[in-house]
Amino acid sequence: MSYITPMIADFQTILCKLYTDEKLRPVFAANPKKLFGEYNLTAKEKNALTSIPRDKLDIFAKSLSKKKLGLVKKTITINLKTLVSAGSLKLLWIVLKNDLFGKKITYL
Amino acid sequence: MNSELRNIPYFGVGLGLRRELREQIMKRRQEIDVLEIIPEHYIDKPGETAVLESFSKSFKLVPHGLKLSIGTSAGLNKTYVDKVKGILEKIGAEYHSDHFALTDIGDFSIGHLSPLWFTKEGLEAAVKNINKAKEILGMPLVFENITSFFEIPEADFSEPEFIKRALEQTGSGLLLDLTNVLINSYNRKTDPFRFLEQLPLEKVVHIHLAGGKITNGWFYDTHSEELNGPNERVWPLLEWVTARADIKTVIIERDQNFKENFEEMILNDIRHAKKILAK
Repeated sequence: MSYITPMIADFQTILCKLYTDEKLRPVFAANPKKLFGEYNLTAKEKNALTSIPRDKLDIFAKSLSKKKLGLVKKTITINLKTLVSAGSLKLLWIVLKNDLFGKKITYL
Repeated sequence: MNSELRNIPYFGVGLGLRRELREQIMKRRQEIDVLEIIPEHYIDKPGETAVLESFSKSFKLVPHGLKLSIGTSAGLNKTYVDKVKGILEKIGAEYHSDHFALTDIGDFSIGHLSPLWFTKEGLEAAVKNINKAKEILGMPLVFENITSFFEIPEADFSEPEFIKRALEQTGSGLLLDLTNVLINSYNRKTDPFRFLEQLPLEKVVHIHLAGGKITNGWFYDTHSEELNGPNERVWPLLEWVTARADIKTVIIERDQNFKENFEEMILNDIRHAKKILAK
């Protein structure tokens, strides 16, 4: 991937992982240096990442999970209604499979 | 406000078009000036696009995107922006809006809006992405302040300063979400008016209002409530901004906790906003 601002690319990658990876957050809190070793970060970036308040980071990450689950529930409900009324069980399975195992599930 | 933003017509007061509200919106269309649509709901969905075209016959439509991700260091997703452009052309959009946020980096999606890092490097990325989006979309852009439980430490700018610089350097407008201002001030124990005073109010184009919920001492931006109770504090904020800005559009956002009583759920708040704008 080519970056328009390569200097913050690794910083953003770690941030995204912290927001979305429930298992990574306690590992990072216990030993941030271990994670930092895998990336090219400035001292300012390292300091920023370790200074984010843990409790607020957790609340934010949990709110993201809830929103993602909410979308899956909503999408499935809509698809169920549509497909049950259309009477197609085969199609229903294809849509459910796509919703549950699709590459991206995004809350909009 | 530059001439491009000044030339945006007045749209009035309305709400976000959601699938669950379509029927009620059509029934009460005389009281609704404008609908805000989310392009992502219509991209690659021909059936939904037909619905959009039918609504465009009865309402003025303004678009509001979610996934431009102007903070990304990986550059914009051009395929996405091209698809958004297709929707904007269908509705004859006068301007497009999105957020001061990071949602995607390349193929990696966070799944929702996350805060930008208010640094020189972060500003450089945002300005590059906004300019690129503007070049592709070919219309004025406006960007929204978001809620976040924390600010990323070691910033070079305050949030209002970052917003001001990004808007100045790209000629863009401000979508001022007053509920987001209220929620952040509650969670951070700061003064919402102090925050507003620092923003470039001359660049305000569009306003968002929505009802959030307080749970375990935290105010969440749920878009699920009417603008009363803890949410009624947005009304003095709207009065304050109305006296200082040339607002073109006010949108009430509702994304869940839909009710049978459309009047109680939405229309009362639309009427309240109209009264304030008419003062």
